[in-house]
Amino acid sequence: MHLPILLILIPLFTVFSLGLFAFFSKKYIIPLVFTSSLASTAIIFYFIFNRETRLPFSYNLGSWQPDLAINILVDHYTLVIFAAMGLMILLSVIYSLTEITRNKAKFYLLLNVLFVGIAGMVMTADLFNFYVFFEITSISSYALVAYNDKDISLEAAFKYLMLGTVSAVFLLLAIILTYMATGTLNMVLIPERLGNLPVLTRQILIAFYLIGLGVKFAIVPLHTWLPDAYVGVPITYNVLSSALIIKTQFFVLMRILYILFGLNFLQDNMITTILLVWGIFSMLFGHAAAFQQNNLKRLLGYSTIAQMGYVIIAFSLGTPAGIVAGSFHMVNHGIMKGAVFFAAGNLHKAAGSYQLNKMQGLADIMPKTSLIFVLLLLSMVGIPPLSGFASKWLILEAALEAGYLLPGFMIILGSFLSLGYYLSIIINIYTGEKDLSKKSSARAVGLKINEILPAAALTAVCIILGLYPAILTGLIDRAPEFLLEQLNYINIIIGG
Amino acid sequence: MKKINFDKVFSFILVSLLGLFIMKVLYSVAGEEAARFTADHYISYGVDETGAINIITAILFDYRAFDTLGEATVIFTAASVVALLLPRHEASMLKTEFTPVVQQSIAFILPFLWIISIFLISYGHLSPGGGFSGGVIISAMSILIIFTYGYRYMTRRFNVKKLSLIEDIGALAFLTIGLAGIIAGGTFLANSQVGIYPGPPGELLSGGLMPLSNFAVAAKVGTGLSVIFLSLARED
Amino acid sequence: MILVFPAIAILISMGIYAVLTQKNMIRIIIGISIVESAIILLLGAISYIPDGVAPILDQPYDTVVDPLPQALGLTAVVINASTTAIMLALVIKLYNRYQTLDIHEIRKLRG
Repeated sequence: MHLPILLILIPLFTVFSLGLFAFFSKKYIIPLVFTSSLASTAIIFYFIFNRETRLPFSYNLGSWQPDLAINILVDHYTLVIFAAMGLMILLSVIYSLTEITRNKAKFYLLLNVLFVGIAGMVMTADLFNFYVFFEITSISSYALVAYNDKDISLEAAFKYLMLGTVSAVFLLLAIILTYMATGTLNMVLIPERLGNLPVLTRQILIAFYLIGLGVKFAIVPLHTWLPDAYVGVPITYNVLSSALIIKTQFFVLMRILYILFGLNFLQDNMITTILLVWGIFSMLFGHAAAFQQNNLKRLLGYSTIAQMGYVIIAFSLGTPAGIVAGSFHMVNHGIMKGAVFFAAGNLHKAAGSYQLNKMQGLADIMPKTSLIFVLLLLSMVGIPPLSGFASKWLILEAALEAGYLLPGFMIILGSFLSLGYYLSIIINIYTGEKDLSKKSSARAVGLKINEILPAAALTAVCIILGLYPAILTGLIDRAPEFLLEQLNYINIIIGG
Repeated sequence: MKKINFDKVFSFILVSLLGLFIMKVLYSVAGEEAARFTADHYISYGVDETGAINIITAILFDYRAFDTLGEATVIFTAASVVALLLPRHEASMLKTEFTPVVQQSIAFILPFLWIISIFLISYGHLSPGGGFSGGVIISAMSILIIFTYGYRYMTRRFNVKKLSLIEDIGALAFLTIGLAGIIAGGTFLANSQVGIYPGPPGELLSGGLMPLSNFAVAAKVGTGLSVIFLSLARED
Repeated sequence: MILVFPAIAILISMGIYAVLTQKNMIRIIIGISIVESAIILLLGAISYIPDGVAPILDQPYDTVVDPLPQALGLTAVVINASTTAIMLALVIKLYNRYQTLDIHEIRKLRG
C-alpha cells in the first residue's frame, strides 16, 4: 500500500546516502544506484501489469484526511509517463556506467534527484507540491547541462537557468493566484471553486501556467535553451531530457489545463485552438530549423521540438482518440529518440565528433550500430512497419476524426520535411568511403555490452510496437477517462 | 542624434503589458470571497490536531511536511551542485585583515548566536522560528567566521566534506522521521495523526516528532548554506 | 493591501525588464532576484487580514492571519536561494574562463 511513495523515496534515499558512501568508500556507489533503479523499475512495472486491479490509487501523506493532505495518486493517465520511466530509468543508468568517468558520485546523485523530481511531478495532486518537485527536476537539469564543464555547456546552462527561473516565477505566480481564488492547493478541490472566476482572469491564469511550463517543454518561442543545452551534455541527459523531462512537463500542463479548467472552458474560449495552431507552428519551425544544422545533437534537439509539436496537436484536439494518440506518441517518441541518442553516442565513439561532415562513411566501421541508427531515423519519419508510423497514423486519424483537415495535412507535410533531413544524415553515414581512406581519425572501436544493450533493446521495442501497437494502446486507452472527465479524477481522492 | 534602442523600447512595452495583466488578475482574484477555508481549518483545529502552537511550524512539519522534504532536497542538490561546479581554486576572495577589535567582538558574539539558533530550533513549534531560521543563523555563523578569521581558519575545522557529511546525516534523519509514520501504522510523514505523543500544547515536549524534524532540518539547512558559501568564497 | 498589488506588478515588470535588457550577468541575476522577491511579497500580502495576529496560538484569537502563504513563502525563499547560488556559481565559472561578465561578449568569444 505504500508503493507509490516508494517510487519517490527510493531514489531520494539513494541521493542522501550517496554522500555517505562517497565519503567512506567509492566502490558501493554503482551497486547502490543500480539496485535503486532496479527497484523503481520493478514498482513501475507492478503498476503497469496490475493496472486493472490496483488503479486508480491514491495515497494521502501524513495520514491527514484527503482534503487537507498532500495526495499522491496513480491513475491510468499517469501510466503514460510510467511506461516511459519503466524503460528509461534502468537503460540510462546502464548506459552511463561507462560514459561517466569523473565525479561519479555527484553524477548519480543528480540523476537520482532527477528521478525523484519526475516521479513527484507525475504523481502529486497538490499544486505547491508540484512546484517543489518542478524545481527539484529543474535544478538537477541545470546541473546536468553544466556537468561536462565544456564552454558551451556552461553557457547553455546559464541560459537555461535564466529562462527556467523566470518561467518558474510565472508558474509560482499562477499557483499563488489559484490559491488566492480558491483557498486551497489541492488539485481535486480547485475545479469547482475556480469556475466562479471571470473568464479573462482564468485566461490569464492559463497563460501564466503555459509560460511557466512552456519553457521546459520547449514550445517554440521559448525553446532557445534546448539546442544549445543538448550539444555539450552527456548522452544520458540527452536521452532523459527527450524521453522524460520534456514529456513530464507537458503531461502536467495538460493535467492542469484539463482538470483545473475543464474541457468545456478550454473549447469555449478557443484555448485548444490556440494550442493546436501553436503546436503546428512549433512542429514546422522545429523541422525547418533542423534542416540547417550540421551538428547531430543540435539537429536531434530541433527534431525533439518538432515532435513535441505533434504531441501538442494531438492533445489539443480534446477528443479521447486525440489523447490516446498524443500519449502514444509521447511514449513512442521517448523510446525512439532515446534509442537514437544512445546510437548516436556509440557512433560518436568512432567519429570523435558530432559534426555531420565528420561522420561520413561510418557505416563501414560500425555496420550494426549504423543499421540500428538508420532504422530508428526511418521510424522517426514514420515509415510503415516501424512504431513511428503507428503513432503518426493515430494522430492523423484522431485529427481527421475530430474534423481538423488542415492540421492533418500539416502532419503529413511535417513528416516529409523530416524525411528530408534524416535522409541526408543516412546518405552521409553510408557514403563517403573515399573520404574515409584519407582520414585516419575515424577508427574502429570495440563497444562494451552496456553501450550496445540500451540502443538495441529500445530498437527492439520500437520494431515490436510498430508491428503490435496494441501493446501500448492497451496500456493507455483509459487515460482520457482521467484527463477529460474532471469528476473521475476528483473521485479518486474524495468521494467515489 | 541618439539612436533609439528598439530592443529596450520593445522590452519596455512588453513588461508594461505584463504588469497590467498581473494587476488585472490580482485585483480580480482578490475580490473573490470564497477563499481561506484551508486556512480556517488550520487556525481552528491546528493546535488540537498537531499539538504545536506555532501553526506555521505545524504546516511545515505536519500538514505539508512533504513540501519540506522536497525543499530540503532542493537545498541539498544546490549545495552539491555548487560544490561540483566550483572545485578548489576556482573561486577566490580578497583576503581582508580586520583589527583585533573586530575579531574580539565577533568571538564574543558567536556563542550568543549559537544559543539563539539552538533556541529557535528547539522552540520552533512554540514561538517564531524553527529549523529553517535556526539553520540560517548557523550558516550565518560560518559566514562570519570566514569573513573575520579567514577561509583557512574555517576549513581547518570544517571543510566542505565534513559539512556535507553532517548534511547527509540530517537529511537521512528527516527521512527516518518520515518512515516512523509508516512504522506507527499511518502513511509516510504521519506524525500527530498516528498519535505520536502530541503532548500538552505549549510545552517544550509536544507536537510529536516536530522538534526532532526541526533539528534534522536545521542541521541540513545550516550545513547546506555553509557549503554553498564555502564553495562560492574560496581564498587563493 | 490595495497599494501592494501595483507594487508587486511593478517589481515583477522591473525585474523582467532587467533580465531582457541587461548584458551584465550579475545584473541579470539581480533582476531575477527582484522578481522572486516580488512573489514573496505577494505571499506575505495575501496572508494579511486587517487586525489579524501572527499564527502563534498560545491562546484563542478572533482574527488570525492566513498561515499557509507564510509557510509557502519559507519554502519559496529557500528554493530561490538555491537557484541564485547555482547561478552565481555559473557566473564565477564563466568569468574565470572568459574574464568578462558581458553575456554577448561571451557568446562572441566562444564563436
